[in-house]
Amino acid sequence: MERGVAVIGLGCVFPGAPDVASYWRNIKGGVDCVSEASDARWDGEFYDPNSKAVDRVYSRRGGFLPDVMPFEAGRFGIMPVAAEGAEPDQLLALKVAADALDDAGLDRESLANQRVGVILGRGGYLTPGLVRLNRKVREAGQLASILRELAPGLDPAVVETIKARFQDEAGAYGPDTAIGLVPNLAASRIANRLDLNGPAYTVDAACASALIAVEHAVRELRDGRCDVVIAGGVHVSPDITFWSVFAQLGALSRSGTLAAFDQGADGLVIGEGIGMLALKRLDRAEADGDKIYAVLRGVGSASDGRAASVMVPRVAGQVLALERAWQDAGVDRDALGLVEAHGTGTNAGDRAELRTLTEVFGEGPEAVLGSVKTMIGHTMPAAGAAGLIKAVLAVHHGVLPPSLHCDNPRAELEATRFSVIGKAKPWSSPQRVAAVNAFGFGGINAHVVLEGHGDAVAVPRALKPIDAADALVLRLAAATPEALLVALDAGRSGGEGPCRLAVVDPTPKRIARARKAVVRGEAWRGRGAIWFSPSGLVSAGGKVAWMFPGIEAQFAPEVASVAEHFGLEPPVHTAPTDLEQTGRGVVELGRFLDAALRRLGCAPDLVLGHSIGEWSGMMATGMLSNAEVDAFLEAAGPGTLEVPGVLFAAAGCGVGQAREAIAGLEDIAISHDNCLHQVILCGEQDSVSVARERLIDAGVICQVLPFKSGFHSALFADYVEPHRKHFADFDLKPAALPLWSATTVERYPDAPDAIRDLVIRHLVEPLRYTELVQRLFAEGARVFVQVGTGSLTGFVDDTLAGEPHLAVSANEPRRSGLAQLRNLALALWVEGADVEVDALVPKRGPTVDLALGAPLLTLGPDLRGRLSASTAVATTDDSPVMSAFGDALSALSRSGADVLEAYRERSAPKRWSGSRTLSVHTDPALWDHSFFPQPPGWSTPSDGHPVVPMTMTIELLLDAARQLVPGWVVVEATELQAFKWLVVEPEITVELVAERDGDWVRASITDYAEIRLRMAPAFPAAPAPAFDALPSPRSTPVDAVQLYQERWMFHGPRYQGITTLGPMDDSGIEGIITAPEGLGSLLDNAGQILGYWLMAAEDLDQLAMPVGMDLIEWFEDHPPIGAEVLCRVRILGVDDSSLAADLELVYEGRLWCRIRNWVDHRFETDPHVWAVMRQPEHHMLSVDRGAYRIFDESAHRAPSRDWLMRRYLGESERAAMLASGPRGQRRFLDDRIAAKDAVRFRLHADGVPPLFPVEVPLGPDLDTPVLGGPLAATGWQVAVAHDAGVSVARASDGSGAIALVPVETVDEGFVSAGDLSFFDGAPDAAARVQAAKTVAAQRRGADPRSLLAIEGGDADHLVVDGISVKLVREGAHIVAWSET
Amino acid sequence: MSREDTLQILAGFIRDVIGDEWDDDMEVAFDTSFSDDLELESIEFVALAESVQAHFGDHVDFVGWISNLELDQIIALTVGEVVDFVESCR
Repeated sequence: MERGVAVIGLGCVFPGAPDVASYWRNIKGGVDCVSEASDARWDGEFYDPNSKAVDRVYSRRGGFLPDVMPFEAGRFGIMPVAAEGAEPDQLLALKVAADALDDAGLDRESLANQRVGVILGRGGYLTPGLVRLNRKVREAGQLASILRELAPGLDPAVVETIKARFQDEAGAYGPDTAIGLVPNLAASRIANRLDLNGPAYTVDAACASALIAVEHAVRELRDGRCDVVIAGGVHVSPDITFWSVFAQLGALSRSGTLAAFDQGADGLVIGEGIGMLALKRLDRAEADGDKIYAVLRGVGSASDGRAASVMVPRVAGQVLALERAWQDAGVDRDALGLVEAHGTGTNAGDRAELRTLTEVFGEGPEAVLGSVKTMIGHTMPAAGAAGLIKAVLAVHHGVLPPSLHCDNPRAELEATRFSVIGKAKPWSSPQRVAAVNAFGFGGINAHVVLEGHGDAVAVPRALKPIDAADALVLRLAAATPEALLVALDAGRSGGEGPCRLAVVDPTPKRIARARKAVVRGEAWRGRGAIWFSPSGLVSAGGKVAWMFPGIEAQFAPEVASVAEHFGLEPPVHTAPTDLEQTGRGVVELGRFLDAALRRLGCAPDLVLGHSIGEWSGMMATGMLSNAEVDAFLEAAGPGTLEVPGVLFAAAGCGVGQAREAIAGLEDIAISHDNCLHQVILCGEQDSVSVARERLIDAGVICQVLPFKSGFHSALFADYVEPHRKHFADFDLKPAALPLWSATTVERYPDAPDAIRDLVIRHLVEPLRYTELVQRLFAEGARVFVQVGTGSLTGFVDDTLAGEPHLAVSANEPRRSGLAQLRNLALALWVEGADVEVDALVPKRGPTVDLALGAPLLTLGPDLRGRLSASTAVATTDDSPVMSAFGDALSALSRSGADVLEAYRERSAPKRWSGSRTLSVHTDPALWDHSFFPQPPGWSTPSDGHPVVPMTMTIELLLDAARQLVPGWVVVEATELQAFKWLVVEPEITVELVAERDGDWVRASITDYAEIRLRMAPAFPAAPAPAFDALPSPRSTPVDAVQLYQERWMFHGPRYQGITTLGPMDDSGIEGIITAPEGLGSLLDNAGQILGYWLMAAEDLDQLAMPVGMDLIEWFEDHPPIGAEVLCRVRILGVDDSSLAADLELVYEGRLWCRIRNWVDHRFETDPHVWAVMRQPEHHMLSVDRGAYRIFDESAHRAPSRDWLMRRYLGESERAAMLASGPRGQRRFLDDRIAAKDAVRFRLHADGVPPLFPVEVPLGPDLDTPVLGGPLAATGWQVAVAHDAGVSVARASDGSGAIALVPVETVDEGFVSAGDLSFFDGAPDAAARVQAAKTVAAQRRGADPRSLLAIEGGDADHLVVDGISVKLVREGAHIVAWSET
Repeated sequence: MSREDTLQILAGFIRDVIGDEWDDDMEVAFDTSFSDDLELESIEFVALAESVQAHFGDHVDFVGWISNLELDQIIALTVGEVVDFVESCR
């Protein structure tokens, strides 16, 4: 029966270590992660080193996680609001458990049929969620009752306000978050979210908890009740009350250092963290091929029994636990090499533990003793997990880790076989056995014996967060650095424009760093994985060069991650053992990365190579086929590239100094001029030695390279023959892209023979890389991409120092291949080059910030005034004591309040002004508030006519007011006036002004809008929602999805917040809005619900836009993005021109905002116009007559000509129209409506998908508009004619013509007596003649009056000058056209 | 002069070499690695060597020391190792 339990996965978060890799790095490096508690944990006033009071602690030092921990709620399917209200430790435990399972290679699928348990050690201490709960439920009542008790005359409403404010400040708690406070959820939530069906529970054995959890786990596994168990411990957010306990016990270290086993140890420091191990029975793990970190051999636990005190450790109990564990393990005690001690740094604890160790292990081989608590503090119920993970990693990696602060070991240690080491030591023995102690208060002791599995595994270099491929990335774009800064400060991402910023792992600290670069306005290219370019090198016209590197001393690319990501075959020779293999590896890598880059949508404008990198360049440009190069490399056995006795030496200087160094020496030359500060010398050994000495004497770094070859020098001349033969056989083609030669500093020739010559010259002549880079810069190259790994980027940076350029590598040994590609993609994106960054940036849900502290609350200074004003009333109390107290209090607070008020009056500013730039770049959401939706991806923003919604205008005004009176909130808005639409394309900068008069602030956007706002220190208590239910609710004709899909609302995604629409009736409508991201979008969506009511209730003039509101009242802060808000609308009245309603917006059952008399203006539209407005690609304003289309503007109700213009015309067409004078404009527009419809109709009849009017651009000529854009090539022509608000148009594939002549006002000059003979005295005969002649003249290009005569036909069909013209009466007009 | 003083002098040179992309949040400590932490390119290292050599003069053969290191040693080099070297020349 297998008793060993394999550790197959690890996960943790401890001070200074967000993950296991960093935890081990810290342990190995002896990093002290103890620091001071910030005020965000608990307030400074609790710290007093001289006090013994119960609410004072004498040390601030501890091991802390960051005060705010990001948590990816979406990854685990947890609603952000629920996450905010939950205990932080539960959510972090969930993440750590998922990490441990990931590490074990167990995904959801492989877990599905296994019994997976979760057993965690966790204490029942006060945590932030419980603190919040206690505040909400008990402390708020306590506060109110004390206020009532001490000041009975206090206005009960004031007490309620204070209580409510206190509860508000305490944070989120409600039905959706309450469940998150049940302590066992630390384990159960893991089982729930990860869908595990083994037992899941927490155990509490104080500081032994985690090891007791491991003991349970081992039992479950040995008994076969579980297949996998996650075991560990959790201790996060130790509350000030917890600190108080340890201060009262005197257990906290006054020196702030946990110095386990040191003579001067004076106690512990409190730590926090979470550690978990994924465990599986050893035989199963081996059978499943799992990664095995270590094998747990034995576990044991024991209680102290009846001891002198529950607080004093008892050696006998500890010994018993150890004996039980070793008995269970069946391992020779002499094999023990490492004990991870409980080691709390308390005198009694350390003494007892050393006695226990002496008793159990006695004499024997030397072993190391340590405690990770010296680095991260005492993590209490998680301590056993911290120690066990440390021991597991120690046996796994074969390292004896150090322990800190034991400068003067306790005397007892001398007598034991144990010693504490201050620096890590290798642990090379084949059997590596370790043991871990965890002893809990009250006398519960636990011990685990473990051993390494197989050989020690070297530590892979741990990646910094910014070097990991799955790091978060912030990308931001704007028109200018200033606009970008605004967006950055507003916490936005995305945007458009040439000024761009990318930050990997955007922690606040790193964003602050990036911000500095933006403020400075100068490019920042890559250091610290931050890229910023104020205008984009490629956007400004710079070219992209791909550089293929040659052989260098270092070649260790990481390619597996890239191969896996793109499904590419990885290069073979990535760990070469000789020069030829390196050559193959370099070429393979170049080809591999070339393919990866192309998958990313990248392409070069030109190509160059360094040394054999030119061969890669020949492949990349299509000059050489891959197969031929493969065959060549295949044949290149060891020795092909090598030249015996010839050395390379790299010198840190320019060619001039290098020439001096080789002056007078034989058989030596400069083979590579790499950049201004590096050349490579190639020569016989003796000459190289002399040159090297000369250089070092001159202060130049000079290193002999570890490979021998004579490439690029005359010394290779004797070796070129095989190469010449190979190239002679190659089928060479001209390069499809410019390929540049570092031999000639010119483009490669096209002729195959010339190429062959150059390839041979390349082998024996020096590389002129410096000159080549300078030349390409002169040719316009600004971005240099190293398609490989190596030094070329450094060469470029050196050569082009001070010039605007980007040099970036596609592979970088210090980070994963995928992370470096991600960096490359970001660098390119920032410069405006083509690249699909999304293919590399991991998609992650938004994170929720978990605050790990629970500092004291403050209600803000404003409420002090409320209290002092009303305590005056307290003096009326009968009780003499209370009366006196009230007098004193009242006097005190009055004088205080007076002084404060006077000060405020004097110092408070009365006026604030500022400016705000608005555009679709500064506020990308405004793309989605464009009145005239255009085809997807339409590139001219002005055609959409993006406009600031009135509700965003209100938000801007509110912001201005809050700038003037910081810390106050706006509770009421009235006298709203909007003067004109605030159109944001092109970009506009507006002036904001706020002026204060007492509690009122008048805020305005100069020329655009104005409002009067009442401000207060706090929101008033919200009244209950007051609207009655709708009397006869029915569902709306369309649902929320159709509302946007069918464009009943013009709004794009960022303004589409309505997720439930209806019910409605004649008296109102309701809906649910999921607060979208656009500024002001929540109220805008309320307006949409109101607007929709009109659309559903009326069939004329359905388009309505807000024009004013009598009163808006707010009762709490704006609900967060994603919050579901119930919007209730009650119609006050509708008439021909307006619509009015009251609105209530209810968030989580509370009234958030109430609006009185919201008025919409109704715009004139008939069903026809309304359909065109909404879906112009499917509808037309003109009417089809078969041969032509006619548009009669008097037949429609339209909001305005401007609306029709924007619906039908593109940017340049609108400019042409506005330039055509007031009279011309009408005709211009009418003609184009008819003409565009005629073309769209014909094309659609030909099977072309529906077109928007802007997709049918027409030239500016008034009489003969010409089709532009892609349609110009179709051969379609359009003819138009216009008279008095009526336009006719005809689209044809030949030379069409059309005329429109009013019957009543014929130009007699057209008509001769003979012409009328074809008509039987018809009253409109003259008009018909004029129309027919006009058409014929158009066809002939002649004057219709003189030259032409009617040759035959009848009233509906005339032949003029050989041209057949058809005629028809159209109301008061004759329409004539020719069909050929 | 103490190790700490030498560290500060080196930190100054490193700041100069990094130039515009220096940020005050970047820390130069004894265990700071030139390659991993400071992301110094080999060419930047040449510039650093020039400054170091010029400052400490001939009795500190920095260039000779560097020239005799293996490449992977240079890549793994920490600021502390350079400090130790400079100190060893006293």
